[in-house]
Amino acid sequence: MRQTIAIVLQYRVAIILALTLTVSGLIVPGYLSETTLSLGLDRAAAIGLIATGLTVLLIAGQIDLSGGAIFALAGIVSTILQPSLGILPAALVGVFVGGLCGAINGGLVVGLKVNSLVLTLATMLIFRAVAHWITNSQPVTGTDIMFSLTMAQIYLDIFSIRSALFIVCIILLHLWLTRTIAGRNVFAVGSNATAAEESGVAAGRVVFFGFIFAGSLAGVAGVLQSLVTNTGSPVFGSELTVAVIAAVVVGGTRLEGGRGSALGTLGGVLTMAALTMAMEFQSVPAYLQQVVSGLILILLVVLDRTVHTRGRAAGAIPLLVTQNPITTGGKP
Amino acid sequence: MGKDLTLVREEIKPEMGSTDFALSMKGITKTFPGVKALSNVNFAVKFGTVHAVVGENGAGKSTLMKVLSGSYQPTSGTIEVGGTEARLRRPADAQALGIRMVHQELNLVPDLTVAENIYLGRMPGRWGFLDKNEMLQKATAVLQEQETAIDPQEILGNLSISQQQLVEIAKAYAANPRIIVLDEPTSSLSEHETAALFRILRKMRDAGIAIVYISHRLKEVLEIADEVTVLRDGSMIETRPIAGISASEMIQLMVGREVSNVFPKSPAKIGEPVLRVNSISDGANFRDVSFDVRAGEILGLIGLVGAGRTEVARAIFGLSGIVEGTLTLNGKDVVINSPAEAVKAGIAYVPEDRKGDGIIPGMSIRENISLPVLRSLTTFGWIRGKADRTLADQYVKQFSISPPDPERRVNLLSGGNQQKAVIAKWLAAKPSVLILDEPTRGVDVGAKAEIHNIIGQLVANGMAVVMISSELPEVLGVCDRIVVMRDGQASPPIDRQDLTEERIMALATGEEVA
Repeated sequence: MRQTIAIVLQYRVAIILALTLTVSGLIVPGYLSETTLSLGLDRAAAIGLIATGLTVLLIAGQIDLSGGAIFALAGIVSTILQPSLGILPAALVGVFVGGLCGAINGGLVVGLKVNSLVLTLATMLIFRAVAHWITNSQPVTGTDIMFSLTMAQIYLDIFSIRSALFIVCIILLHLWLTRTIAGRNVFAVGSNATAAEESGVAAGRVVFFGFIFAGSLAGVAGVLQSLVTNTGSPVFGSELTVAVIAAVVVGGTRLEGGRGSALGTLGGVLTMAALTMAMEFQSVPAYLQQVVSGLILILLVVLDRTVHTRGRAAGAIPLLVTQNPITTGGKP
Repeated sequence: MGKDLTLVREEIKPEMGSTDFALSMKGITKTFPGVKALSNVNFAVKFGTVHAVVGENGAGKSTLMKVLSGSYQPTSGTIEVGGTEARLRRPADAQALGIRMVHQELNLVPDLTVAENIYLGRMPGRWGFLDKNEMLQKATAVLQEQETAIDPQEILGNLSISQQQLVEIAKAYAANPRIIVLDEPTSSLSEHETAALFRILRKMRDAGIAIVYISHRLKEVLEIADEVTVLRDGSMIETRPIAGISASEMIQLMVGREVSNVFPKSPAKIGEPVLRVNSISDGANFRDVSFDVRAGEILGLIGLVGAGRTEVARAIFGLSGIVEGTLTLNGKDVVINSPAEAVKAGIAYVPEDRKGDGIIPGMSIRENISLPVLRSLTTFGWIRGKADRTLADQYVKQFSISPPDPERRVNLLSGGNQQKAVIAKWLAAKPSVLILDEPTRGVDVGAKAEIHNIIGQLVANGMAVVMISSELPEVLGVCDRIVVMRDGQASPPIDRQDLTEERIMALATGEEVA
């Protein structure tokens, strides 16, 4: 019995996803059709790509709130540069801008030894402001609407380019986190940065590259969004950050660092997307959708606690990245 | 075991140069702005020896070790490792030369496995991909060699503190070091586990490793060390072979004065029983535990780690449930379901894990002390600043907390002074029963005597004290009666006069002595 519970808890995300799909399939007509699913997957991909990057950061004990702003900025840059550079080079520059934003985040967090929650809150405002500034707060339009249609095409009956990219990224990240030494070091840094540092793991470098990775993926997501819509807008992605964090946490990655998985994030992203889709099909009002998402989040966090409190001091209040020596400058 | 040695270690003697000295630090001086932490210290350790470093907190032991580990740069002086002059600019430099530290504060990663912790920073692999099998094999070999029954695949956070300590030592050992520095390695180990640790240390010593052993426990120093260096006030007082030095001589060298009795017990009038524990069980960790503690009495609660001592204390304090049995406080049966109820009933508990449970590190001494009694210091919900300050001043003075600044953040104090602040915090609540869990763990001789003094004052004023301790001399010196626990069961309280260290160990381990 106890073992069954343990297994259920371990695969809670997969189970909840399966339940969501089954229940939705039963009550929502046409829900489990290829069109619906491929559409849902495509929409999940934007959140998913940012969530993939954030997973690494959360495991390393950091957080990035600026993902949504990077998303908008990268999209704008890639759209504005289309006439002068051509679509693909402009897209690459957009991704590079995402990576650069990540490097700014990481450089400041590591260099100034500041809390990443506060720092990326600040850069979120700044990146967003820059996005408004260079566009005069107006949406910008790309050069080739036909290219957007290619981007939105569905392959193998289910994958769009970006949903395929999201899945590939998740699988690669999963292999990297579980099979490589560098991947293990990310967990070590998130779990106890001091110990990792003293064991010869360059904790600062791990965090720095984590931010670059997260920024680049937010950039990729933003560029793809702009290509699909043939538009770059300074308000794109403004509600994404919270949804992304929710999806990663639903996937079992811990906000305090040291624990998490890429496949969990995949499950979290798909669960949130499946729920949203089902509720939209049933014309559930948007505010009620948010309530349901919130409740799911609470449920999973409580389950997570049940799994992991065995053998640990019960009642300990998780501290959001505050006990990380990288962000507190070595002071407890 | 011996034949496995080659599996995890290469021979270390060659390429060492032609010296017997693994380490030779000459004329080390380290000044911080305004403070001279080390002054012209000479310190040399031979290969294949255990070299103890003793001294009160603040004597410069940790500064010296930080210089050795590359965390601090000496202001002047030279360091030779294996006969070659070395510059240790970063911890990585020291590690490259085969110097490994085992810290008092565990430096492990709770969410990784034991094997991953042992090889953290040096995991085996190819093309960046981790070779899990090789890592597991090597870790198993190292743990086996150390005769520890720890599963290398267990998540580290699930181990007990003492097991984690052993993993930390295995980690240092697996790095194939020339010099291992152990800082208070036994502070979380029971006597049993300490004996196991000493077997490991002797094995490492016999393999030619130089071991630097920092400890407050002089008895252990006498047992394990070949040589001892005494530091006092940042200067090296003396290095001597262990043969021909006694504990009292070491203490004398450390404090620079004669200390007649390490464990002063001020006589107190023993009164009526205050707390009576009537065959309590928690259904898991202990069963059928009974004892009473009287006003003016210090009752020792002793046993090996895992015997259930702390669990009994936590249950009495309402931190965990009692499934059977009752508590009688001042003649009345009481039911305690939470720490808040315990405090209200007049029971206070100073936990073992000072950092985790006892103090709030970011708050000042004053804020920590007044925390449990804040309500009584308020008028219509507003804290009366003056009453708050008076209370803190009183305890800072009474316990001679140093530095005597109530506004100092408590995590900036030394271990002994933190402990005093924690005790003060609970005294402010004016309890009739005070439970102290390892109150002198990891504090130096001077602070230990002061803490014993404080406890002595408290019982002289009629308080009943239950003291959990792993140090037999301390328990025998301080306590009036002693309860020995083994595997969750408790002996009846035994008068101190009827006990010896050997007798207690026999009761605690269940091994009868002849």
